[in-house]
Amino acid sequence: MAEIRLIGIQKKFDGPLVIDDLDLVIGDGEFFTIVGPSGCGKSTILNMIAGLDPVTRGSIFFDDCMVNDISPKERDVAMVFQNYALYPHMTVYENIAFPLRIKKMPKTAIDAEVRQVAALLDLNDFLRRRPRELSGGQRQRVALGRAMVRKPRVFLMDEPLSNLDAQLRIAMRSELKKLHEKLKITTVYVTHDQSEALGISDRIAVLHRGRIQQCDTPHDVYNRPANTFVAGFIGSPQMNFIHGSVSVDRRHEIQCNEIALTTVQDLSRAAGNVTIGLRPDDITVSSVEMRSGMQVEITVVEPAGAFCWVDFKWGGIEMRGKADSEIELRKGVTAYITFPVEKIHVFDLESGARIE
Amino acid sequence: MKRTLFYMLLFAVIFFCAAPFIWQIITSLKPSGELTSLPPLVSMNPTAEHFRSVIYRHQLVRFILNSLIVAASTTGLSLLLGSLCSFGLAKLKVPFSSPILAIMLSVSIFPPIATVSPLFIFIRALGLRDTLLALVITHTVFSLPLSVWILTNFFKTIPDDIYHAARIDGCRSFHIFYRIMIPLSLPAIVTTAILVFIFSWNEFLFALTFTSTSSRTVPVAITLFAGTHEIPLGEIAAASVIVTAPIIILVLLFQRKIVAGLTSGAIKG
Repeated sequence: MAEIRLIGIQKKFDGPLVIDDLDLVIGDGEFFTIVGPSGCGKSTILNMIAGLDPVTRGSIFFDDCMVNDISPKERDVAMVFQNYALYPHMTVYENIAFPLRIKKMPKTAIDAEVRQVAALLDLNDFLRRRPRELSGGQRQRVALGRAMVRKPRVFLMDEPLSNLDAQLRIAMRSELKKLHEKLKITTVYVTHDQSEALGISDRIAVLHRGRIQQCDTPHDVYNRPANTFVAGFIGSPQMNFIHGSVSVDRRHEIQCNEIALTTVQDLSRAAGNVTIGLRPDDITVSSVEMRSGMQVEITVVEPAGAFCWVDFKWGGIEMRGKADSEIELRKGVTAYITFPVEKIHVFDLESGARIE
Repeated sequence: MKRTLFYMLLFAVIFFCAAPFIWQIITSLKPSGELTSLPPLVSMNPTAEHFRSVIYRHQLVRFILNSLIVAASTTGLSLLLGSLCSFGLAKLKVPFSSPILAIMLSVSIFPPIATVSPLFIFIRALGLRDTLLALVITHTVFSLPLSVWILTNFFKTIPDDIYHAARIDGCRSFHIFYRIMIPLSLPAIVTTAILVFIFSWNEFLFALTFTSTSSRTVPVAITLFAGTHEIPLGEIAAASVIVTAPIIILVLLFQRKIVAGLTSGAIKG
């Protein structure tokens, strides 16, 4: 097991910088997720940690040892790939045993290790099969087994669940979490799925255009997004963004849509225009007129089982909120929205940075 | 209606391709007197005299052995060098790999007749005239571009992730080559082997130029059956049948191996 430190990492292929000046510390035994839209450089970071891609500038440390010039073999990392990358000409047993055979471990020891891992992953019945005879979920477990059997210092996972169907993905998510709790091996997990990142990780780094936008616990990334990108990327459905303005003399008030919103944040340093962020989850839509409610016009109602997502227009601004599924709401009807003031996020209009 | 047309067309193509060979077989079994009679129908009194003659009088077995040694060595050498080279070009980060591949292929574009004179001087200088080694070397040189081309393209179809997985699992490049790449490329390797073998087995120009007596190969030997006054059609036909048969058997035997789908199951899809 190891702590991973990336210091001043830059990466360039044939063109602009893919990763620009990245600093990151991943704690020993941590389940760390790098999340971001496709093409943000997250797989590149993983490949650099693995040693498959050299860094252009900067250093990577495993504990106190710099590994920049050390081959993947000596870094003692294991990796699970998005498309599994099993060896198609080998059986499940041979696939899992392969890393140990390369290490020239004695046969009996290999056999014991393989069987132990297979039992843990429920693969005992498939040991003689070849990858093409397995389902996606089974192949994924073989890929995990091949990574686990070595007891590596670091686990690297490159979107390991994205090729599975939705139901299996959720099931494997908790499997991974359980495995991590059992093995306590430092894990770096890459995904573009923000809900996966929130659900599985100890900490999350949100990556965009080769830069880390925020690095925090899932709770803080969701509740205190550092900027508008993180706020828009994390959470589904996406956060509503509205323009507002702050006047110098009123430090707890935003003018927005001809209404003054009182905030818990002190806005004295943010005078001028701001972006207000409100999660659909935090907006309650109701057909009953409430004292503090604002009047809106409903455009779309989308039932989601226990509740409904409701698209509405609030003085010309398109927004989305949540309503109880018991309430009768239809397109074109007038309704009322309320939200707790402490759930209002305020961002600088220019830089997008969070204001507290 | 459509089906009949399809089968008629199919039959026409097969007949077009197979007719010369069938003619050859028929001729090889005819007694000398009927050899030039047309149409080439199967003789009423077939004979094995031509086969006996090629084997005993012309010592065809010796030449077949020569051909076999040359073709097998060429195939082995060409595949060994070709597969290593292709692995480098397809999977390792070799700079300028595309130009290298293009230059290699351009070697095979030279007409052999243009290179045969300088090569002859070369071979003579090396003291390799009339040796099988001379043929193995030249055949390897001319078949290598083909091997590299086919194998490079096949290696490229093996997902990079499998290569990366093997590196993470602790393999050195050469380990990956023989434990992962070679087993996965077996169909391509067999295909290449057959093509190279056939090329070398049939090659005529270099064999004629570089050999004189002891290391003569089959195509040259058959050509030299013809004397000044007569062309022994029956014997040429018999020898051709004997020589072509192994190739056909080879292809039929390995045809099963030339199946795609060996890589299926490695990745999703």
